[in-house]
Amino acid sequence: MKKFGLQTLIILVLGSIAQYFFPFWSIAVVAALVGFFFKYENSAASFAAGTAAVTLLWSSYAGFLNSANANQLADQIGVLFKVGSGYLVPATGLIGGLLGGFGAQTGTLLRKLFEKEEAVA
Amino acid sequence: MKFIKFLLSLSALLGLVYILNKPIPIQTPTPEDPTKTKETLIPPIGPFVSPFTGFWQNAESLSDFVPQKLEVPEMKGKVKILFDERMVPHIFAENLEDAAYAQGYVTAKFRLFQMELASRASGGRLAEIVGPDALENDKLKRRQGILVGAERAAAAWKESKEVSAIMDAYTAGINKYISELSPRQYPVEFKLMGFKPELWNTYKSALVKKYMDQTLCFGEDDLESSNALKILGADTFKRLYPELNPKQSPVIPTGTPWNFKASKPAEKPAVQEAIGLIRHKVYEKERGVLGSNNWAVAGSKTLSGKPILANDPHLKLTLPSIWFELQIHTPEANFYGVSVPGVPGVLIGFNEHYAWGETNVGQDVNDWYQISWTDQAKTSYQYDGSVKKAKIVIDSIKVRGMEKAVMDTVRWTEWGPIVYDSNESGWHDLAMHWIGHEAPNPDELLTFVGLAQGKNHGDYKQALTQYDFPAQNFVFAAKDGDIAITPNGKFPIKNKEQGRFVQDGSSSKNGWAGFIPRDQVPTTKNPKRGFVSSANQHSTDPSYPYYYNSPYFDHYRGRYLNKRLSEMDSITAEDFMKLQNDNFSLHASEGLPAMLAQVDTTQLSAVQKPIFDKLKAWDFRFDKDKVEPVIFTNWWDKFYEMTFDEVMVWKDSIPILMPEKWRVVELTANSPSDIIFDDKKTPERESAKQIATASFLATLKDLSTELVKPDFAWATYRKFSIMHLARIPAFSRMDLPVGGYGQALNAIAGGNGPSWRMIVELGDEIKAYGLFPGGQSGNPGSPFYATDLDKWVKGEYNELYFMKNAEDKRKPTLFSIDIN
Repeated sequence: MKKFGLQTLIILVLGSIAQYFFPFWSIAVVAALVGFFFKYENSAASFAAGTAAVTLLWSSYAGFLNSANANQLADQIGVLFKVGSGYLVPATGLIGGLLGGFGAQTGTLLRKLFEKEEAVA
Repeated sequence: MKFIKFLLSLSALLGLVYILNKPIPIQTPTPEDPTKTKETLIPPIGPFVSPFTGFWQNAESLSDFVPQKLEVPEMKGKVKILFDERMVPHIFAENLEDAAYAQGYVTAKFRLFQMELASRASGGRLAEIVGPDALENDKLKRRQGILVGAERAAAAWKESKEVSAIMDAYTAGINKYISELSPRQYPVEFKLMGFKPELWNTYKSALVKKYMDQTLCFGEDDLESSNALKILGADTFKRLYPELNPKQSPVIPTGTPWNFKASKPAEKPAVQEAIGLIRHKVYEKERGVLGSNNWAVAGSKTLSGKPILANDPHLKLTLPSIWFELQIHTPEANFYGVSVPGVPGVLIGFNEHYAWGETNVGQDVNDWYQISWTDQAKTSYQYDGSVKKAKIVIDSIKVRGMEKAVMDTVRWTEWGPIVYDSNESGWHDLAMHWIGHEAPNPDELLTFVGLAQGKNHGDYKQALTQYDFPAQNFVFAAKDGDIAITPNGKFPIKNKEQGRFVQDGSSSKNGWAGFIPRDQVPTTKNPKRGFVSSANQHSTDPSYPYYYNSPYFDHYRGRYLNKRLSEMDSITAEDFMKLQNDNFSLHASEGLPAMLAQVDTTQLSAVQKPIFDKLKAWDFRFDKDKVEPVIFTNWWDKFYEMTFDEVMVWKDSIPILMPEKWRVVELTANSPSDIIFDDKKTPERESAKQIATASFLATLKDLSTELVKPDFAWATYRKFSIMHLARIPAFSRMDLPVGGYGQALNAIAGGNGPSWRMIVELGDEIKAYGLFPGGQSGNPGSPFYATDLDKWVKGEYNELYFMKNAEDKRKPTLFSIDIN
């Protein structure tokens, strides 16, 4: 659990910094690095941790901007894409989460390429 | 195995990134016609929804406005910009150039997309960002010579030391803002449409100016008039389309003497050339756009004893608005008003000494000439008895989504560009000769510097001499008691009826005979009646020695306004607020009784009679909750179409002029048995009686399902909306509960309306009120996007905060920018 918390924290901090300077997909690179350097038992755990961290990051940042804006822009973007504006924050989180999940999982699987079979067992 | 797993995961990730990074075309209904769909590119999902780069970054809050400091080494002095609670910038600068820099910077900060879009739309570069849909617009701008006109204007401005210094500073201010911008800070429209803001330049400002020229002085009906004359014959044409309305109440009061001898009186009638029917499909013209009012009353008519000035220019209403409000304070002057994003300075406003405003003059300064080619390849044409070579300009238009640019050829003649593709004969084409193609006075923009910095009527008059086009009725009222109005601009000297019809382009004699000298442009100062006014009507009575015409002159608002102003006394600013929001229509008050009088009431059923009586009892006000405006306007349209069946039959096949409203009213009232009321489809000879009755019954039949709706009223029926500039419905405000009518002072109609309502009480302390339907910010995610729209709908005003100096603390400062 401690490890999970630390990974999440690193993704939040590094992810925020990376996305300030680089395009949206940089969050997947950050997740992959975390997946690579933290020893996950399996790729599913890595996927879950990456998804959770980036969902949290994207939805909480979007939610923060949205509440400061009192839903004004979200309401209009909702009309534009014909979705209820209430879905926009969760949808944002979900899309970020997928990037984080696949990123972390790919990082973990890359690491496993270099690990010796016996070491894992 | 491990390797395959890794590869699968990696490809899933890359696939996801690829999908999220790729714009996906979807089918959406077009805003103009919901039954048609078009392919719209939606933005790449990833960058657009990422809270770090996408639209969430445009979700603005008050806490985003933290005081800002800028270093601008090339600036001469220091500038302080204080923003009040409505985000109106008050610019305190040590000189005008620094003020222009600051104006450029703040305008870009709040209106960047608008500026980019306006310059692209006017410059024929829309297809580059929106794709093939905009190709027609882009071609048309080239063929109308808009780009050439803008190039010439930009080049002319460079010749003026003062203008180019202001333009350069303004441009530098805009570019300072653009170059500091990171993609996450782009206005949300750039993110949606997936393109980048370009750096600004003087040419783009000239394109924005050309956009205004096109809106205001491009109108003509030459092709339509020529066809109507050809089809109906000279007698009927004269009867249906008279130029002079006997009831007219011109801008310069009737009977004002002319204290000059006209340099070339308009006597020789223009030669009517046998040009034949013109079958070109004409480009779409914006009809009924103009409905501006301005007026000023002398102290003798006001409660305070000081003049009051009012101005409400009517333009296409959009979000954001055409106007951006600001104050500029320099050691030379302190002035406040509205500007157009892309052009430096204040166009309508006031300073510590006087107020000024504009309405459109609308005289026809755009004429057509028939060109006779001497070869089939259309390289040369006949001109003054010899053969002249056309200048052939080949231009390429970039189109988004197409690999190759589209090429288009425009032929330029002595007169101007050939606008339309060839008619069937192949040997003739039409060239356009527009004043907007010509290089303006290099100092033209100093008109507004002069107006802003002036102290009295003499300064106002001096400033106006530098102004060329679009011609405007410049109204003026000063603290010292003077009021004045001048239909001002560069006006061509024309023969009688010249430019009303298409003319023969093979003779230079058919061109304009120079321009009216500036000291012969009509003006009036402190007239006896105690007020000056304009509402786009005729500039003068027929005794003015120069000929001018326009298919767009107003025939109702001006007369009503002058009547009201003569009646009113002990006037206050509140009285003028009511007058600007006045929904009374003289067109209805003269037209409806004439139509009602013709209806054969014995043909009305027990259900129809009460509606007839309701119309009869109507006060002719187009208020939002009344039903009479709906019935009247529908009946009017039907009555009009049935009356002019002989003109209507041509309408879909060729351009043809439609008679003006006032003439129809006059014929109905005075000559109900005129042959024009005869329905050509029947053997009987109809009069206004049969037409009025039949059209009334047909109208009620058409409206039968509407009439029983519980919320049936003018506002709910006509659904007036203010659209976002890119016509994105989500960013627009639909179905506003407003009244008004094109022929009422509150001229809200067809997407146009009062774009800025301003009232200035002159006095030792200037008190000003104003409001435009929108807000200072162009960002749909800003609290300042549509701030004042509700107030505008209700006819309310803001008291304008005219700061005395940077230390003025009467109202709070919300945000500030310090430069150097």
